[in-house]
Amino acid sequence: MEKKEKKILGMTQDEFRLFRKRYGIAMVMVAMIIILSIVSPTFRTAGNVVSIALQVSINGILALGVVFVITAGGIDLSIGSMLALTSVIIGLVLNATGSIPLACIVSVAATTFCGFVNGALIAKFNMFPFVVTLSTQLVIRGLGYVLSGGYSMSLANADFKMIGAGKLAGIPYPVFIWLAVAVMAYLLMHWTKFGRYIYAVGGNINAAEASGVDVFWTRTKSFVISGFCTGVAGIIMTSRISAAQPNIGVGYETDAIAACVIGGTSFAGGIATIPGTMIGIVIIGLIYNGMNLLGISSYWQTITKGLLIIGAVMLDMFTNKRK
Amino acid sequence: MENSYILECEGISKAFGGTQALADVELHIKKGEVHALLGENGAGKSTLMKIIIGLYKADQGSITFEGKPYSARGPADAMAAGISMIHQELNPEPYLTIAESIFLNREDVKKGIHFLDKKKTNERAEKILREFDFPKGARTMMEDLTLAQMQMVEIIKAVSCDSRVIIMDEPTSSLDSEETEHLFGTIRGLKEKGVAIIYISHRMEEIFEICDRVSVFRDGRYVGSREMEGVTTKELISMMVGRTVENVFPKQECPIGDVVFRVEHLSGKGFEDISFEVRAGEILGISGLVGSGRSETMRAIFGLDPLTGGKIYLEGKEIVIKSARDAIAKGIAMVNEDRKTYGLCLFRSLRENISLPNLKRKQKRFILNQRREKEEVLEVSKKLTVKAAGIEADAYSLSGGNQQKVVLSKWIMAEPKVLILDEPTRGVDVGAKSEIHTLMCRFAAQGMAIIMISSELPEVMGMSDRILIYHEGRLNGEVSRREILSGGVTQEVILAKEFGGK
Amino acid sequence: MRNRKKLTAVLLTAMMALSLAACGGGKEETTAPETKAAQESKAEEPAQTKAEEPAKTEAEEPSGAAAGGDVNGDGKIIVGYIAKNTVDAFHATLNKTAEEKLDALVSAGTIDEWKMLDGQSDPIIQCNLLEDALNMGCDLIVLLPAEAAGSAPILDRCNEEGIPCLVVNSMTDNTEELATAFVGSDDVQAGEMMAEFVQSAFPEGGKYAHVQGVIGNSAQIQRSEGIHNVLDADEGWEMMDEQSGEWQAEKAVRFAEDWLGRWGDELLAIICEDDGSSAAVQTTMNSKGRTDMVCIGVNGEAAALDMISKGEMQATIYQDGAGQVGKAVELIPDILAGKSVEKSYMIDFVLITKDNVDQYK
Repeated sequence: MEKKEKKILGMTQDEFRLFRKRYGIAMVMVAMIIILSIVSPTFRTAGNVVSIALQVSINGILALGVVFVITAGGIDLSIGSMLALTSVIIGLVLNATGSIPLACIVSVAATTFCGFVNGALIAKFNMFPFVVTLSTQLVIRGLGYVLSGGYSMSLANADFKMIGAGKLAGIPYPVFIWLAVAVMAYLLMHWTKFGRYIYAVGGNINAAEASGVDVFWTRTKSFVISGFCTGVAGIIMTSRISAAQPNIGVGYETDAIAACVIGGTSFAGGIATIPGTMIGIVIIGLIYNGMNLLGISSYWQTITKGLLIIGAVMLDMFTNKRK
Repeated sequence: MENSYILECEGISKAFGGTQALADVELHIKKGEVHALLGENGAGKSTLMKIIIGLYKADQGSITFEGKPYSARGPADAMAAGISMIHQELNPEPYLTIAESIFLNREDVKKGIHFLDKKKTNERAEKILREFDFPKGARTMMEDLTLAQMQMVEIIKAVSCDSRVIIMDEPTSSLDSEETEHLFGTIRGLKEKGVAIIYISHRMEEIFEICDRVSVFRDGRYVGSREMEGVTTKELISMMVGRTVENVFPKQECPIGDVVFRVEHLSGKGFEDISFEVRAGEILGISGLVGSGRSETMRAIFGLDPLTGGKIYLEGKEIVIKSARDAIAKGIAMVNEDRKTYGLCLFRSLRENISLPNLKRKQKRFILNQRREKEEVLEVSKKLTVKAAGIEADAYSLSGGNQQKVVLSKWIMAEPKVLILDEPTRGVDVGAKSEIHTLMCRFAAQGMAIIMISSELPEVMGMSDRILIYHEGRLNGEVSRREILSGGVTQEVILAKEFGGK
Repeated sequence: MRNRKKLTAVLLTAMMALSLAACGGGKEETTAPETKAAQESKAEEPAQTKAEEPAKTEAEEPSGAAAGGDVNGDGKIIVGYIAKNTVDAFHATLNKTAEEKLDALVSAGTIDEWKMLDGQSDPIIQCNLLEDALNMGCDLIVLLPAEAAGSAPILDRCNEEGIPCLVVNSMTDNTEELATAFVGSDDVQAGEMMAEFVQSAFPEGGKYAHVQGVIGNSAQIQRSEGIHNVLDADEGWEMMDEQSGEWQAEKAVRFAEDWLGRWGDELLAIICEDDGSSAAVQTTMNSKGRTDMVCIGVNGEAAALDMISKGEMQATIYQDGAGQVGKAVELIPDILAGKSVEKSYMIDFVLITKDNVDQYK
């Protein structure tokens, strides 16, 4: 199989290796799309494509934030709690002032600040990201409960509802927001000095420091980005359920991290691409959507997702010759 | 006579890749003697010791221990056979007690049920500790001991395993004089019990004080053995040098300009009161044994480690360097000796590695000018003759020499005023080595001030305009190129200074 | 070369995972396509008649009813069943009843297909599943809301698309306005029943504590309301503490142990809002010699019923989940046929004690 392909595409071994490294996971995605198109007629419909995009938009924005953290050699487990915090703050501000922009700004500022705290603790005191975000996750979740008194608030504001439910040319607003975040993430990661520093810090923190990279700020900023993206995703989520709830978002970090890993992000840091992450996001969306369409129980969705992550990590190891 | 040898190594050879670390080496250790091993950095002493304790496998040769053929599969195996090594860098488990440390993997267990019998282990440990007049109890945690005491625990452990040969690698490097005296007392006691000690040290006076015999190594070869009685320092030094100068160094003389960089009375961890200056176009060589403080000084100047005292001047103005970022911003660059840790992001491309310290200049309103970056990287990598599949190839895919050239490229692109090179040709093949030397001369000709640390005496002597010699954290002399060219200063002279001579 | 082999292996694993999953799902599906094939010829012809005129299709034959409910005009009547989750015991039994009854509707020809969609207790997932359901051509939605507020947009969307939506078990905030019908139980009643049982067990009154469910959940709010309705009015009873155990038995036990430590024998009853928690709390109390204490909850899970029949626990309040979903499925033919149904159906809770436990096991 592989040999044939090599001949057809006329690539040398090195070129092929590069090709596989870059497009291996994209091929998996294409294969999934082809298989699903064949077995499920519903899958091909325009309506379903739009649904998939809508369904992945929240996780997509989360993954685009957390990919910066993982690439810089960290991990962010506090995403789920930050979603709940966003939701609660929107509820409080919106019910008190009725101003949508204010609600959005305050909530995103709050999660961005949470990200800063995460990053600063980790980068300043050299603590393990896993442990720090594991504990801030609890703190932030608790904060959400304290602010809300534990109760969920219904949001009657119809304009706010439109953020999640509105459509332009048949495409829901969250999809546009997701794509806009993706473009920004792409530029930031691949076209700026900061993006390079993220790669360098994740790839070899000592070499980065010895090359004059401001390691503290680079690591901190990666968490700030994750916090910001989580805030944006939280706005969409709150709008879609049109309720402010302190108990939402549990376990959302898993899917976001999974999307990054499936998209070729190395957990050791230093290796990731935004297009790859987008593919990872879509693949997770395909698993959910495809299996729902085929009537496969959600138990199998979980298993498939797990196996795919292991597969993606193995792919990463072999293509990058890591041990 | 034959029977008096407890450990005999014959015809040992070992190669790492293309480098011959040991070639047909021999070593004979008598029962109950203290035997010194002497040689320059990289002479092969450590390699031979690692073969004896089973960390490496010899390519050729045989070892006889107590009259029987011997080979160890690892340190534990060697220890069981009766050979132990006390490493220079002690690495104890801090949260074990002394008793647990000594009897690690040899714990007492209760009969029937396999629970630890801590009481019995502690009693056994107390007994041995008393024999050695150890000041702490068996239940003391390792982390509460001084370095000297930890070392003593290691020695006690070796003795408790019934070791007949104990290898000590630079045992006094972190001890004060009182602790050293105590250690020597212990060594004399072990000697009386018939334990043979292999003693590796760079401190001549200690070797003369405690050792009975000495074997000298040079360039992975065995030079010879002497009885300590009757031998002189001068004779030993002349045995150690004599490394052949295989390649002619492409040193080009270029005009030397004003003082660019000057440090005064620098102190920090591992070095004290260091003052020197470098001029534009000058290559300043720095020589000294590993651990003598030369790399430590440069790391501190570059901001990787803190300075505790002294001043740094660049082009006449005093500067303060708190981090590598400061140093780079001021125009100082450093090629680290450990290129995998400090030089490269191995899994990123050549392009990204080379441009990493130089991105500021390529950024316009946050967005990188990647076309310009590519052009510049291509240009510099061509200039430095980096051989790779392309500038998008990952750094790990390159050979050692080319990796080193990539590290050089990134600093050359930064156009520094002062370039610090720590072991610039380590792990680099002969061809690339010569290319790197040529490049160094070219940079100097462009007016850069270059500081080069090297453990290879011919390299330092062949490339430098001036050489500073370190001994135990301090400068112990300076020689000029003129003195070398005139033959007034030879390898022996420099080596003698490295070993603390005048 | 070796790498290439490895890659193939990895890809194969991923594919296997997919195909494996497909097989697992296949089993559930096998019944549907066959009946579907049988139905297709029947359903196709009248499918052209749109739902706007339900009066026309009041005929009793199932194919007629099917045609009437075909909102999206794809020629098939499909019911989307959005479960709250598929893991907790109460919902598992509830889903099982739904499966039997909906399968029966398929074989009777009333509907062509039904889809089981697992909301995983997450309102956003439920919202996403609704989009999937719409894309699959569902003409009627049965919803078991995960959250009162969070799952409300599902009803908005159904309303927008003109698709009837049956809300089962717990209400969303907009159920009264937008749901075609609600089938559930009045949780205030459950709360009151628990409180009354506690009163009858200790007529002189005393001290009690209260383990709440997940705060904000409609069952939690209403059950708490019921408990307070009765016991706040009774001067003999004093509430010592009220904490959210979030429907989790181990959290409930932790609170109960703290309470026992603080108030000891003065504490006579612990009222929980689910009997997974109350059973666990009772077990703990029994082990500490407090078999006299009344720990009571709601649902009628197997563990609680078992304890009651062994005499280890006094009572629980049975929530007839199967009855709720059964009633909801019974409404489907009428809704599809365009008949008007009532807005709300309440299924009574039942007090279970040693006397009647055998009927519910």
